[in-house]
Amino acid sequence: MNSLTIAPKVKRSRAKKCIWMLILPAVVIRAATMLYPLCVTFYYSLLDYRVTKQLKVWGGIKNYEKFFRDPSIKATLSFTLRFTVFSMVFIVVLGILFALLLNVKFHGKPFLRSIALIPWAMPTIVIGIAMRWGFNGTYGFVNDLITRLIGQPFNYDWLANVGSAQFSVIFVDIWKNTPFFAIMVLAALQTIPSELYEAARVDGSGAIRSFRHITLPGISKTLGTMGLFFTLWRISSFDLVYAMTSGGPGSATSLIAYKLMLETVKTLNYGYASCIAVILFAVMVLITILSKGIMRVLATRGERR
Amino acid sequence: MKKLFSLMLCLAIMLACCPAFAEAGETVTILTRYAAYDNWDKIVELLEEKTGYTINTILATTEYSDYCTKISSALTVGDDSYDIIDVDELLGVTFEAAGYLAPIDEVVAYGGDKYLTSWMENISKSGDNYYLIPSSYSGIYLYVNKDLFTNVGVAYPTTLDEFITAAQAITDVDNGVYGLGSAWMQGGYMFNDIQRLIMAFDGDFYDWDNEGTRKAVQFMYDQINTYGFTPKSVISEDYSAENQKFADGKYGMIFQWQSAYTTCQDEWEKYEIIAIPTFEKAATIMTSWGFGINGNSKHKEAAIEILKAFTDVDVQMLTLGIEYSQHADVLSSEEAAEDPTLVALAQYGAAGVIAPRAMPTYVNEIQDIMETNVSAFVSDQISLDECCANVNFGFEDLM
Repeated sequence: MNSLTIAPKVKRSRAKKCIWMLILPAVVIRAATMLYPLCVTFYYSLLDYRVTKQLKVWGGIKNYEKFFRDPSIKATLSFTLRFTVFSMVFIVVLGILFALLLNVKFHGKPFLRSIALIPWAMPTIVIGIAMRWGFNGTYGFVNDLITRLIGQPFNYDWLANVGSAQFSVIFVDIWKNTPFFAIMVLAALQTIPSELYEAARVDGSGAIRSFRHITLPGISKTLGTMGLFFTLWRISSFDLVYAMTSGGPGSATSLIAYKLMLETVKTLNYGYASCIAVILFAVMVLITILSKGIMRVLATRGERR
Repeated sequence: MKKLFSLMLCLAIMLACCPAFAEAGETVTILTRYAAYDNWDKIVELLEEKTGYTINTILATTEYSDYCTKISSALTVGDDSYDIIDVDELLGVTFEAAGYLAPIDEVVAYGGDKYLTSWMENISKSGDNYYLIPSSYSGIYLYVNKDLFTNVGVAYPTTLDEFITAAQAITDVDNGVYGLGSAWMQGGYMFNDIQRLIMAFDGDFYDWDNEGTRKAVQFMYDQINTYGFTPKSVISEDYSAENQKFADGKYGMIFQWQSAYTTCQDEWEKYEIIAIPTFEKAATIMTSWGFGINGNSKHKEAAIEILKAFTDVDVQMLTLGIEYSQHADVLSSEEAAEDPTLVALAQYGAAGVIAPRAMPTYVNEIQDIMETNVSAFVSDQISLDECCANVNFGFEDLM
């Protein structure tokens, strides 16, 4: 081995060291802000850590056992699932329709685009409090609007009945978040060359066929990515029910993230709160992996075609 | 020149950091809802004059659940932005148990004897130390709308049967008028009615197999579903909605804190506070918010001096324009005799019908369990047996 063969290796080693030195601050920050809290939360989930009892002792899987036999958790999980599924279906469908509408050339489009974003731009807490009054049986604008539409007095206690309270929360969530989803889809729509549509039209393709074979593949990556983000945001959402219903009646509109918030800041039961956080995190990781897999399969199929 | 500049800079930093020099201009920050009242400025002026410290007030939200979240989060992470905080009994006992408050035994030794012994021993004291000094005083009163009673020609109720009869007589569903209003939104509102009714039906807060406790919860269900004199909407409403409906003549009666008087004060001739009727017994609840010192505060000594001065009678008299005082000299003053809620408070006290709420250290946890289950019961999601079993299970779990 002579000096001519050693030199490139030394250079490569130095380059590697240099690369590591450059990315080290980012790795340290990432570890401190993500890995450390994650590990600590998992560790806390195995403790009987209740601040009001000045308790911080090893509890093993006690919190996890409690999670699966807690009577209020079943209702909370059930509504979290419904909230996520219904919200996502409507946000995606209405978001695409709204984006297609905004993509059509018409007078006043910039104005419509601007006002469409208002619900999304408003803080959720503000919307939650406003909607608590909006859906109030006596003073709410919802009953007032229906009364004006049907021409006779309409009184309904939206937030006091299980089904209607759940409907109201999901409805407000859809109303608030659809515009942002639509704007994202609109951005994707605008990257599709108009020549493709013209060529399809010349070939005799109708609107539905063009949508299926040009529009949908063109926006599929955006739909996949935004769909994943929106799903995770729904699962970790708590502020709307916090301000609008406080999870009631009973646990009918309680979301899992709302339950987590109560355990953390109200009852100061850090062990149980950490357990809920770990389970929530695991579910979110699972959904991310699944959706990534689905997106990969869809992309492979698209390439084959 | 550079050396001189560095020396001066070091000196300036040392002066800023040294408590002995900083003390002269020490500022104590108080987080309270009372900052919205005119009299608060007068109180601050007087406290500053008495102690020589500067007081910075931060207005706290009146939305109770938001306040709980904000203050709990701040104390949990060791925030020292507030030196003195204003907390209700639920938060008070929770924070005492969690070790978030600093002891104020000196304050209690200075002026604590002027306050209700039961409150000082049950709420302010934890272990061997005191942590809170009352900042307000209120009870749940029975307010009536005089016109609605006159219209249907029924007398003010004194017994449970009379109460049900009067409430049903006033109820006119077609016109949106109900005999009894409530606020049962979860997050503290419903909890007060649960506590009050358990006391009124002679139940046991800690035992949900107790007959009186079950009767109390059943009565809440019956208000809406059997007698129909309370609208179902109360399940999702807070005090602001309840007070507004009462002021709009939609409720014949409400059991409510002093806030209903504040809402209806301008047309008080239409309303009245009456004696608490006897269900199993005549009973209602009282509350006092209290000032405590943040355990993380860097100005504990100054905060103690301010709280001492706060117990002085001239400062306490100014609280009459806010949410009243528990101070004995204020309650027996001529000014207090002009206020209908304080008169009622004195009458309830004399009749022995008013008492503090049960406040175990795990009160926030049990409150959540009780409200979730009672709300589910009154909205027909679960049975009374399931409701009571779930609450009992909650107690067992917390013990």
